[in-house]
Amino acid sequence: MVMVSNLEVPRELRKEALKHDMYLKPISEDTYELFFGPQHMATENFSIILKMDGSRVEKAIANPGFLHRGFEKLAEQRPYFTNIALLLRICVPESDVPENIYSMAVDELVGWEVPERAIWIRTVVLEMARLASWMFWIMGFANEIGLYTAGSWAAAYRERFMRLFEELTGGRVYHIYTVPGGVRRDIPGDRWLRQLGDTVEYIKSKLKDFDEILFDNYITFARTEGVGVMDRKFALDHAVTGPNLRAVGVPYDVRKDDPYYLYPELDFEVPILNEGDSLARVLVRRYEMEQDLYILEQLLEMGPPGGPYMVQDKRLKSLPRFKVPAGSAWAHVESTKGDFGAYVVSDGTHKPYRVHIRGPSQSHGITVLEELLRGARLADVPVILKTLDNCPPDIDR
Amino acid sequence: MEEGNREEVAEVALNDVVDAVIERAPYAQGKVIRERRVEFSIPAEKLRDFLRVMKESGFEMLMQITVVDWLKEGKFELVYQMWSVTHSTHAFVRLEVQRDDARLPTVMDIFPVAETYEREAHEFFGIDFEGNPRLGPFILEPREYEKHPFRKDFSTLSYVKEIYGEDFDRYDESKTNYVI
Amino acid sequence: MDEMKIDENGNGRVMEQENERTEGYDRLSYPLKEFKVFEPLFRWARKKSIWIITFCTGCGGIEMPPLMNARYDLERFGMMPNPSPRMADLFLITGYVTPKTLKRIIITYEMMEDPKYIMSHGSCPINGGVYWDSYNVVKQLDRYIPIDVSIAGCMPRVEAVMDGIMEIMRKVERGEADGWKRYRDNYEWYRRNQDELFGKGWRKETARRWLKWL
Repeated sequence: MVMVSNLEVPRELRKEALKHDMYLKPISEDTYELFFGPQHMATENFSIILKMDGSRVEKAIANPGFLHRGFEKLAEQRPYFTNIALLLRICVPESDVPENIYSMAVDELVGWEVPERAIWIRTVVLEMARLASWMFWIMGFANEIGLYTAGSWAAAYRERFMRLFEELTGGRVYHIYTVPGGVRRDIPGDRWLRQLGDTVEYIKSKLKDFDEILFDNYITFARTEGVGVMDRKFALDHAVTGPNLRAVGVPYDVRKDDPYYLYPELDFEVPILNEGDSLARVLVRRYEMEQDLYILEQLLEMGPPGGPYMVQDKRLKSLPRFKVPAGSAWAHVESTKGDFGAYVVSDGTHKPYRVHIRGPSQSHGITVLEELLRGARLADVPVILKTLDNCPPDIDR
Repeated sequence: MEEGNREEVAEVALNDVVDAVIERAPYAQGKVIRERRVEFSIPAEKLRDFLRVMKESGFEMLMQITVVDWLKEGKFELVYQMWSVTHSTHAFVRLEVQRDDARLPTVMDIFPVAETYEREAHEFFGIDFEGNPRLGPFILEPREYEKHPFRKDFSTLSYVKEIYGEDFDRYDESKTNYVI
Repeated sequence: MDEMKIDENGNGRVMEQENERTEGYDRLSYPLKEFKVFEPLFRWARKKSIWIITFCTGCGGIEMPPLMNARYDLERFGMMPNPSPRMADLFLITGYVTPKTLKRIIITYEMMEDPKYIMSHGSCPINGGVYWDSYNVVKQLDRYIPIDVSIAGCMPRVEAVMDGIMEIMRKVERGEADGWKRYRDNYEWYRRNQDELFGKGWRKETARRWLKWL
């Protein structure tokens, strides 16, 4: 039997491991195979198979698919409006994004002019989702590098947005709120707007605390600086988007470059950094959080325009038989993870012929991750995973 | 008024982009769909050549490879979704392959990210990308992988009944027009 | 004979336990018969220190951090997320289960030490939920592993999850959370269902699949 030379494994454990055929498995004299996930906090039901040389990763293979539910197949069997309740489950922390891209694509196919009020609400919902998602990301990242206090704070602040979402849409996590042609319900009232303003103010005041404990912390710098570096050419070749791309100095943001909703009228900046390492990715996210708060402030100052919140159309009377003209459309929005896109093909019936969702983690989680992990220490694997902000459900769909 | 002018200018600029691509690749047909959306149709055998031209003309990112299964025509339509950071424009590169025995060359060496997209397209539709070494069960388990479940002739309802042996009260095979 | 059984199944642990069951008393709960007097004390202690294994199997995993952190604070019940299956008592199936995940769930569940409990979130593990016609979602999880408490709804609110956890605690105190006993007693049945879904020898095949890539 081949012995694991550079790792002291107790004899009983090794015996059991070989019996179960599951754990450490010597490949050759020096290397062994390590299953990282899916039963691991950092990976969120996603597995990486690492070929380890001591504590250094020699090769990594991403193994997704634990969350595959065949959304695109199921969407072909359900009517257009029913699909909203299905497709939003693609991105769990930011469930408004799939709703919005799908609705935008269907709007374009039908040729609807979505009412101004609905546009305003959709923009607010997207930005709120972004902030809630940032909080979720802080929690994951802070817990990964051992700063649990910041993680607990973020979890608590996220609850404020959850409460607002609940009042607006009726759901905490899955909202089923944005539908083709507008939104499903109106804003509850002025009190809700005041609460949103208060929350934005509150989070803004707390950003300073986050800086002190997380973003300007010696530990964060020590754990992330120079870890998982990528350059501009690599990032573009691998279709890296979102904050990860802006951390290598490419100022690509869908909200600026392919503006949708109210974003052309809003004033915000696209933060970029040039280092391309994990620290740059963390800091870009920190700056974006500030921009999102600023955007929400502007939107609240603007106030919701009057008018209907749903498009006025006779065809909406019988939703299950609602037909969409033949054609195809691509719509994408900027999520916290990157460029989230949907391609909807219609053949003129009441069900879509094909729905294809492009999740940003499809590139971040497979090829990019495999490349960045090569040569990294085992202790850096969760840091790289979290700074890439890999979200397994949108790889698997 | 100013808005309209800007849009016109943008469209003229887009026309230039399309013309520049077609000049280098005369076999392709291209047109501007609307602001920030252009479309090209190419023959399948020119795929690698054309994507190289696209990359050099400023379409740096391959966002997705979408496969649409046109069962009646017996064809797969492949849409290479590309984004240009330079021109801020999305391009659809469309091509068609025969449904049975679908083969295409890989574009992994031009866009390394295509590896993932091709694995996915292979898994769900059974298209062979020649030159991609990692084709095989990727997201699915081997049993489902063999069925290529996103093909239009795969019925997920009867598959569920076969594998899980469940008789749902919602389940009715005879209904053709299904509303949940 | 014993050795052969272990080889076929690829897992020796459960078979060992099954042999001991025939001796007439429960080895794991009562190493000595006299300890039976302390049973209420053991149950109370178990109820107050349920450790959760950190395995987010589905979308319900997103409600776990709020549950653990400031607003709902589960730690006051003596619960704690724990990465090691050997130390965990409670397995939360947070949402739909695909066959690929189910394999890992079974392996992880068998690695946990008795007594162990399973709670499932949402409609999907009960009957498939919104994925009732999906080719890749397990429809009735109770056929493959024993579930003690199920929470209906999609996605169950944090309060509902807490209610489920209180239910588990009540059941533990009354000695009704006996999923692990059911699994041991009806191991052949569970095993047959698992093999029907995955095919025989799936434990070895799954582990071997990746070697050629490395």
